[in-house]
Amino acid sequence: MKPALAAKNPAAAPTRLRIKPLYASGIGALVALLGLLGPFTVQESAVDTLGPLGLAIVVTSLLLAVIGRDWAAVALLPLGLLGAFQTVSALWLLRIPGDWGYWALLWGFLVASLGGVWRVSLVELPPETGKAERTLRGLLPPAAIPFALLLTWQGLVSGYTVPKGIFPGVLDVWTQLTVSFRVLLADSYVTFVKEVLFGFTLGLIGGFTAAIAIAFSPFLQRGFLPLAAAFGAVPIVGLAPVLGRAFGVNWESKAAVVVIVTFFPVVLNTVQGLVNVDPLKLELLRAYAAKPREVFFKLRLPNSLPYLFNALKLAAVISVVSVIVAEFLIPGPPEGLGQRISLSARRGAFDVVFAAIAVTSIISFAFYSLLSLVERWLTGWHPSFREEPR
Amino acid sequence: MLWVRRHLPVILVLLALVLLGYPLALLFGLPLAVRDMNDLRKWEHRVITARPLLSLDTVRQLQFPDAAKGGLLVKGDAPLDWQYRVTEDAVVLQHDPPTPLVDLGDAASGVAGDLYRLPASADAADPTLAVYLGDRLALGGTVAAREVPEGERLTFSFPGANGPVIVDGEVLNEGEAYEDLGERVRFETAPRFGSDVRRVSGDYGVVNAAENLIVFSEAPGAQVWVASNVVRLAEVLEPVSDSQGRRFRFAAERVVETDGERQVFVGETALSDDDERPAERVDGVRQEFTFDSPQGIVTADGVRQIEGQEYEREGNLVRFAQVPARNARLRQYPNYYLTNPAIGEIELALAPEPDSTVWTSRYSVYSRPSCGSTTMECFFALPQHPVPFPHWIAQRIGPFFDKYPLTDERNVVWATLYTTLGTVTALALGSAVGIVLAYLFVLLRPLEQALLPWVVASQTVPIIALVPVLLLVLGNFGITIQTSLLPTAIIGAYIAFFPMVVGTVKGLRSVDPLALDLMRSYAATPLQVFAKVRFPAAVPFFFTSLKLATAAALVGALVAETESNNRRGLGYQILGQVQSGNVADVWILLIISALLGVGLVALIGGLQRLIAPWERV
Repeated sequence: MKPALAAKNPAAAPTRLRIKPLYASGIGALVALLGLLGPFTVQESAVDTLGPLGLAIVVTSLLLAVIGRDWAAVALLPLGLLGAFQTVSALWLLRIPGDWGYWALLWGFLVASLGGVWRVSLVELPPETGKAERTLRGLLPPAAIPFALLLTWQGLVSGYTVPKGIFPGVLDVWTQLTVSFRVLLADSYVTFVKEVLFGFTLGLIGGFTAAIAIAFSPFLQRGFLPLAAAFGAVPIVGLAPVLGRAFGVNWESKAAVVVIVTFFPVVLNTVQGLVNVDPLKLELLRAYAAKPREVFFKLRLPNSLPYLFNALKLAAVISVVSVIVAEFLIPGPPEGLGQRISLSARRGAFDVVFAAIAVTSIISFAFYSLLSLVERWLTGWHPSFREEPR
Repeated sequence: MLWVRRHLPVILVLLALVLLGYPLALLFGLPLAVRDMNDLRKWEHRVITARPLLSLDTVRQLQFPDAAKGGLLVKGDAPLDWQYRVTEDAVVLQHDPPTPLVDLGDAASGVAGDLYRLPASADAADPTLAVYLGDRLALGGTVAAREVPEGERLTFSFPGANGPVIVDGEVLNEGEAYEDLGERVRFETAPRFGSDVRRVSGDYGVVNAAENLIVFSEAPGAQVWVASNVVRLAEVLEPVSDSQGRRFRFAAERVVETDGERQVFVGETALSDDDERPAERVDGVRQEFTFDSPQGIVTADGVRQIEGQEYEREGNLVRFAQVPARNARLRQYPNYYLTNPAIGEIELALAPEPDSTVWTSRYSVYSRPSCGSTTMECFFALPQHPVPFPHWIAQRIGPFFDKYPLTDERNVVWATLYTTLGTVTALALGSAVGIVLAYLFVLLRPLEQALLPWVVASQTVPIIALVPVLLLVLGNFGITIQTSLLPTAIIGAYIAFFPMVVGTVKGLRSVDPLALDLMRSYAATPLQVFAKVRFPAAVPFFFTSLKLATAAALVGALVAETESNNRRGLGYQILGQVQSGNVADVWILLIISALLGVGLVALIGGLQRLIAPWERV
């Protein structure tokens, strides 16, 4: 009986995976091999940059796909991306439209890489795996996706030789990003430090204060909360110009926009957190004859923090988007990322537009991640951070 | 009553917010009003001229308006060498005047009613025009309406005027075209946007300067003459005590700096306020500059330079002690320079002869802020209030809805419908993508692991910035925002799909494990599991995220509409009203958008009760 049970033990599952070849990656590698025979590689300079290396990548990928072990999948992931990158950059240097050989290489390598991504995320790691390796394995798939997307973007733009003035490639955007780095940095300072951070802080303080007032007043709860939801529906498109009239066209009006988009989510969520307290805990504190002040600081305030951070993370993303819209709609001095985007779009410099958007996304993602970190640090005790039971 | 009692807090808070609009309006409006009052560029000009003779029938004793201020008798641009003295109320001549006091030209001809046409020799726009009724001087003047005609306003006020009303060079008939309410006037039809609305304040007012038409407040009892050459009492500039005797002051303050009217004389010589430029380019290296005249007052970038300190002069060669900055504005005023407009002080380039008089025949001053005399008047006269008074918004609602006929697609009702359609399309597209993604995520765990972080990151991309690019790309495929809802839908869907994905994944995962085990023990098919367990469990999450997605889709649709130029939708309307400065209309549109958002969310709530009646909402 015992050996039979051992065979059905889930821990033995990786043993079965070992003999499974990576079909998706294999097909991708075969397509890429076909592409190497296509007319694309006949171009001399393309052979120089792609030929031998491309062949090496294709052959290695094919081998790895057949082996199909975990480590092979991990290796396939960057290898496929490297192949796709070589293909795209070879065509980018030539500046000619892509032929079928090019497309076969591009899609083949991408499929080979994504096959690896698929396998890596499927693999269940044995329980004795170290934490570092576990984290690394967890990060691999999401890290590969943007590279695949960027390569697809550049691959399509290069393959169809789309002019820069209509839709720029990743490489154009990257070039623009390095060229106008200083200008974009100055714009980011205006947009994020002067407008977003200032407004965000003000909105947070104001919203939190208002939330406390509302939480302690049933009248305001019944009167203000339904209206706050309606105010949240007031579009920033219309509000921004009105605020522009009130606060002038400089950064103050855009900070005011941020204050408003931060204020309402903070109020709504914080009130919920302050009010939705576990009645059992409330009764416990009452049994201990806790003063109202103690109930607030020991129960209500900690309880509201997770709600508050949810609102803040939401507001962080929305406030950046809103400030960009506000800069569109309140044309002031030509500074700030929104102004840069709008001015560049008007004169058809879409590479600058995308560079500015990239900077915006990076900073806004960083802002979001920073808030997540602070959240983890301040409210790490909350059940939502517990490891899922395995 | 029950409804009122249940919603009393909401009503009271709403009322408080409406009332809060008044202090907010003042808070934001008053600084603008103060700025308007203090900005001299927004002040009205008044031309001060030498006073013409009031009455022609006196011989040795000449009457002038404000004779007590004193002055210099002039005729034309030349001082008269008569012997006279200025008393309290008149100028008394020592001898009989040698020439006629006034050369009366041609008589004006009546056109209709009190409307008169001046002879061709006269110019109605000339501020020194002297019109006599018989032998008495007629004083002319009009007052512009304090309010700005924006095409809708009917009531206008004219401080200090009660004569005929003139709109764009036409005299209106009282009782027919307007109703006189004392200081205010109510028109039958609103003067169109930007028209010139004024009212006669003196004996007569100029109706149409090009056609030399004037209108009298009261029927002139005598012949109307235009005097071509009148004896006038001119203002003598008061010397300011300084060592060189070159500084003089006008009687009035706040002299207009660049003024075509100003004429200053020393004795019989007219001084122009023309300036001279240096012959050389100001290149930031050169130190010496040549001007046309060998004398004058030198300024650099509007700052008066002091001779001997900041520059030395050798004839018309000026040598600066410090090199003037590149492209600095160097000017030389060869006759005189208005050193201090605020107190009306000028400085002559050369000191006048000891026995000559410095006088002026006319000059302009800033008379008063054109918005009104008090801060509150300026506040009410603001062309655009950042925050209008709430009752102004309420008053605009009716006209706003009637602005375009119902058949016009620019009518608000159509705009609201168009935006609703765009929002619903965006919501449909966004939630379809969101649900498919969410279901794939639940089915295929690796997909979720690889993609979910980037679904979150996608929301940090300001898609709104991409609207122009998106429109261009879609335009290449022949899909434009004019003909298709697709661009609007894509932009709305990009924002709306995020809450859908997150909410639906959470919902599909929130299945009770016991229920799943139960289904497994009944050997249920995956479809049955979905229909009987997963779907019902996901419904509340689904609808919560659908509500969030609705608000997001509305924002996306509005933004897309602001970028379009197809004259449809609330977004376009908001932008249009912002550009034409109708802040009250913007507020109405904002309220409509908010109501639309609340209404759509409520509709989703109703749908939820319909589809999932077991859920208590």
